[in-house]
Amino acid sequence: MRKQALVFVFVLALLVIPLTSALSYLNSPVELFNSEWSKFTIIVVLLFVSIYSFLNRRMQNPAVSTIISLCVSILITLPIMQRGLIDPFLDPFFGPGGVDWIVIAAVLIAFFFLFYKFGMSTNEYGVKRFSLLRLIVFLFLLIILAYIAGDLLPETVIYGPVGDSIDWIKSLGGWTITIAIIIFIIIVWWGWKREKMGYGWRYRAQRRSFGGGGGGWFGRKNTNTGYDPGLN
Amino acid sequence: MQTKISRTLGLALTTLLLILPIISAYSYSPFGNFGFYGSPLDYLENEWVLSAVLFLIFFALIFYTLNKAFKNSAVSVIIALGLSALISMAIAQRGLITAYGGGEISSWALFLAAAIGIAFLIRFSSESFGKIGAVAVVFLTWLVLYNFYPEQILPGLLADIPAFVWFWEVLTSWIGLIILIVIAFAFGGQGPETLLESISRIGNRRLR
Repeated sequence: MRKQALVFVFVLALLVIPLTSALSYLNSPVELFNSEWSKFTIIVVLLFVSIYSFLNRRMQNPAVSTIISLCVSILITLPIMQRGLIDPFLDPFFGPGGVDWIVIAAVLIAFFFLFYKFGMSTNEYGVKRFSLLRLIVFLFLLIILAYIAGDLLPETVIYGPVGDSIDWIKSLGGWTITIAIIIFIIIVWWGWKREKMGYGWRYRAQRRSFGGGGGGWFGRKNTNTGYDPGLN
Repeated sequence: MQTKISRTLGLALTTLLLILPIISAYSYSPFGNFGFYGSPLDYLENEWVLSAVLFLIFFALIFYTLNKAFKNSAVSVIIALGLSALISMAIAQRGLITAYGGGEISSWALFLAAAIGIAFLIRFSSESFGKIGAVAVVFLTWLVLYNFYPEQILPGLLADIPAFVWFWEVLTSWIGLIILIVIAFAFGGQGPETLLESISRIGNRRLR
């Protein structure tokens, strides 16, 4: 209940800030989070948590650990802020843009999890297995997404190899892309069918090897004579 | 109860720091975020504040050590107060905290903190995720170092040694990255479980 109230107050505060703030230049949350105070707070909190957890484990004294870790984290943060060491990672005007890399890393992690959840094939024993074919399908979908959301891509990607590939695809023209997509779908469909045929092949082969009833090779009944058509 | 109070205090302090630019009239500037106290440096780069920070560090350390030996809080507090006041006064007297943020001492503090932090991070990731974790941390560290000139991070004493700068340049080159990855892979621990097992545990499935 208290947590819900805390979240409610936080959201309410965010909503009310534009009405109550006398300093109208902070009319966007980006300005607030991009301020020196916010950057300072974030770095101090990160350092404090790391140093505190280490110190308290050794000292077993929360009060002393808190004081030391807070002061040390402030002393480390000061030169970081003074030299502007955080700026190249947050501000694209200063350097290659660390935010770009964060976006790229987030997309890659999301892709990895989505592929693991939906892209892995399951064999006859219920075990998940890697499938190159499905990986290609997922990569193709990713490229289509990148193609559609081209303007939203980070600059690091736009001026990198991915951006070059998208430019190359765009230069092919609409008809070429449509034909390529149709050919791709046919290849995938054929591959999928082949994948399923592969399982069927192995299943029937197993039955032929170890016995059992049901349909055999090209509909023939298994005679269990030891004859192994093409398995070796 | 103690934990609850600490948590509330921590949350209040963090929130205060975050909303300070909104409520502080001193930070107002018609040109944006450039008013006085628009940055925490305006407040913290002050001899009073830095002396207080140093005083607190010495006080906590001395109190902790003395109290372990004496088992008497009152005596430990008095001695720690006196000693830490003397130490922080001596530091302030010699001008060591004037322009701390841009000075040589802060460079060494930053360099040592970064070195210790990276070492712990590599150890943690190596123990938790094995070789892949060690390689990931090494790559991220290399990416951070790659974006800086040596003069930005290294103390002046080290940045003036040509051999050290040459070593830095090799380390932050692509060849350096390959060498670092090979070393991380060779010396990275096995870890309690592999990365794939950790991920599959998140999805409540085991991957063979």
